[in-house]
Amino acid sequence: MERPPGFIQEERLVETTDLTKLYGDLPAVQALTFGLGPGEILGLVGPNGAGKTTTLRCLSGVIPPTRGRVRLAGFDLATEPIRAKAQLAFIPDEPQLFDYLTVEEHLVFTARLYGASDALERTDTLLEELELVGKRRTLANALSRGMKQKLAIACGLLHDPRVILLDEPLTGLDPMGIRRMKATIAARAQRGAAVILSSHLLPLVEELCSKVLIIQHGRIVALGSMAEIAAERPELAGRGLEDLFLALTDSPHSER
Amino acid sequence: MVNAAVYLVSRSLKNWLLVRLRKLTSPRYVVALLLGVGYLWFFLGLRHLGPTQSPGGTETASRVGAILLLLAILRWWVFGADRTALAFSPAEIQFLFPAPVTRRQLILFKLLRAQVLLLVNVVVWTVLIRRSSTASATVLHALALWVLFSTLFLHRLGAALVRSEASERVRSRPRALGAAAMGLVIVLIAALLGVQLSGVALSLPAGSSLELLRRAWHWLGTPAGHALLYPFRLLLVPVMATTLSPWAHAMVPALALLGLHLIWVIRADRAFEEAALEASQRRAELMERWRREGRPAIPQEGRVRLSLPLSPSGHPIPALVWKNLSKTIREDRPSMLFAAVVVLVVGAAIGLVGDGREGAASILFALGASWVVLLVFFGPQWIRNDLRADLARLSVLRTFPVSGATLMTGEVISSAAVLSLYQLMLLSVTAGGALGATRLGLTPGHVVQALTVAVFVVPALNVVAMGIQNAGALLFPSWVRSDMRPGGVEALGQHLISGTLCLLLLVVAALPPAVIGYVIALLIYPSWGAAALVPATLLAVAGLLLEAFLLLDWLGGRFDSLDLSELA
Repeated sequence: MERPPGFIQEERLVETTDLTKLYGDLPAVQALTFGLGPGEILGLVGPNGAGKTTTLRCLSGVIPPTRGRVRLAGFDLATEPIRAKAQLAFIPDEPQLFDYLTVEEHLVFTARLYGASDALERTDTLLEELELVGKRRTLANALSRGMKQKLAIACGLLHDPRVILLDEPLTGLDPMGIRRMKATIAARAQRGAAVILSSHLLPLVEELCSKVLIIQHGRIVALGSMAEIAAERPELAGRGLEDLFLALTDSPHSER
Repeated sequence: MVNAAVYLVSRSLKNWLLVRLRKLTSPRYVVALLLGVGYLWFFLGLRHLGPTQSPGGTETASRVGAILLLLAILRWWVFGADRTALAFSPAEIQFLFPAPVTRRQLILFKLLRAQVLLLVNVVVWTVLIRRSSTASATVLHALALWVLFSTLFLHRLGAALVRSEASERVRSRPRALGAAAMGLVIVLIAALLGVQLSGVALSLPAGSSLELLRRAWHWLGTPAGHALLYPFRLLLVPVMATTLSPWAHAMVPALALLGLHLIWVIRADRAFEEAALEASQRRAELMERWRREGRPAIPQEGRVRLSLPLSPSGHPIPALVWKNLSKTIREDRPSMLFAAVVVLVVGAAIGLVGDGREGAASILFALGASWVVLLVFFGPQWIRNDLRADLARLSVLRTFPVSGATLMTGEVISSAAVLSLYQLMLLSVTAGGALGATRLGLTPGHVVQALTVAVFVVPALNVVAMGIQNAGALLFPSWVRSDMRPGGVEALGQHLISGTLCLLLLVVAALPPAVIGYVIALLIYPSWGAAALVPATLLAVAGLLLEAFLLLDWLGGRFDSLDLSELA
């Protein structure tokens, strides 16, 4: 199999091979093969219905792929799901919390599930980082949309995951929250986590991500750093991600 | 607006049906449908053996039905109507509330939307209590049931509106006087009823609580008792009628009552809108106050009343149980337990007045045992702090680093624990009654033995029962609603059918362990005596737990392989 650009040989925290998901006869994701190493941030972009969320849901084990393999931090998600998920944080675009638990109880519950009892020592820092300190004893159903998003992020980061999957992570956050969230993502990557970030906010992707994966109709359109992608299309050299994205996804010959 | 509402309701129903029919491409849904149709045919077919009318039974049925309706309505007023009574879906709030429609049109939409559930239950009850074999009589019967259920629905809605407005008045000091007046009227009515019942009780010679019940029954036939039940009888008489003439006569006042309810609810339109938007408004006010005062405040609905401790380390199953028990103590209203306590206290008081301690003990025994049996039947449907409450969050559960079997075990133990607690509390009352009622002839030894056996058997049986309920939710998530259930008397028919099916499965599951325990007890009783209960009980419990283990392990595998994308 011909390896796509950006496929690296060093240790990979995320590794997908021929990842395919069909909804009935409709292919949502087709033959995705890519890898991601420690410290890398991959921006997952594509038009509406391109298969971004399906890809993230397959990577997180929420839905099983129809075909292909996913390895997270060296563990096969199909054969060793518990060990693989223990290394993972999946933060969906719509935070799904337990309305009857407080902010603090969400964190204790998460620590218990992930076997991270020492994680509670990091709680204060995490709550401070996400501006949730004053909400410790507030039930989730009393939080605003942005606060819920922050709580979902706090739960995801509590056990210090090595793989972080974020689906539209800035939805509902205020400007200060957005700035802090970007800093948090960058900090986690600097500490060795592999991050996949799905977003329609192309400036955000361009600012944060070391690599970009553009998909359309479930297939890879482009994968690699901005420079690597531009190298394959010399006419796009020096242009921003938005121009790259539009050029690659508008072209009838963009799929491969 | 009416056209738009009809369009929305009809299209929603059509699409709902189409989505579920599409599921029939999956073999397990086809098998489930065939089994379900077969079960319904058997369950409802039993009613075709003949009309259920019995000579002289109409008056009894009418009186019992009226009492049940009175109790249901009292429950709505005392404990509050079902939380779904005022509910709109988020999409309905988003589209309808900002739209140029009046409050009354909103209420009409609500009534129209309820027709789907009402009509389903009219069909179920028409067959369940079939009183005539002719098609025309069946149509009359169905129409009478529709009037009955529609009136009950409107009353439930009205009760929810009045209670909501009353609670608003209590919060508003200038209106406190009105609330106090309303409370005074309720207390006066309760006092009058109490005086009337005490009069019946005190006129009795000491002797028999059964006699007291008999007199109370006869009192309901007197003009005063008849007046108390009159509005409920108005609704029931058309249901009892089997020919056109009496049906037509009975329908006039029943329709008038329905019309009065409609006017009542529509005139309460101001309270309706306020109640529906109350939560979001209150939250907005609190958030605004927080911003104004510049300090964090815990919103009213976010305040935590009770907390259970959880250690951050340990096995995940207790953590899952802790999560679901937290839901129970914070969100679920224990109205069923309150109702049991009220029934037991009232029953004991009647028994005490009529027959002294012996009478109170006998009634406590009978009511406690009846309530336990009721919980075996309906408990697994009422108590749902398990996977059924988590169906909307399946994608979150799938990311947990725990096996499906672990997750299902935690979920099932949660609801089984709550149900077991309720049942064991009631069994303790039953045992107390048995000890006090000497006429039952039970020795303290018998009672203690039975209670000890129950302490072990009941939780194990409940794990199997809840496993069956959760299996339905897991295997057919597209066909199972989450914790939003249709409420009210009008939805009782659906609960009866599904409850019977689950009970049948439970009986099938419980039979082998029960037989093993019984045979062991029989074999060793001659030499062991009462001690034979120990190995017999342990073996039966072991059998139940083995079944539960196998069921949960299998369900765990199903959870692990579940494709959530199929649920769309």
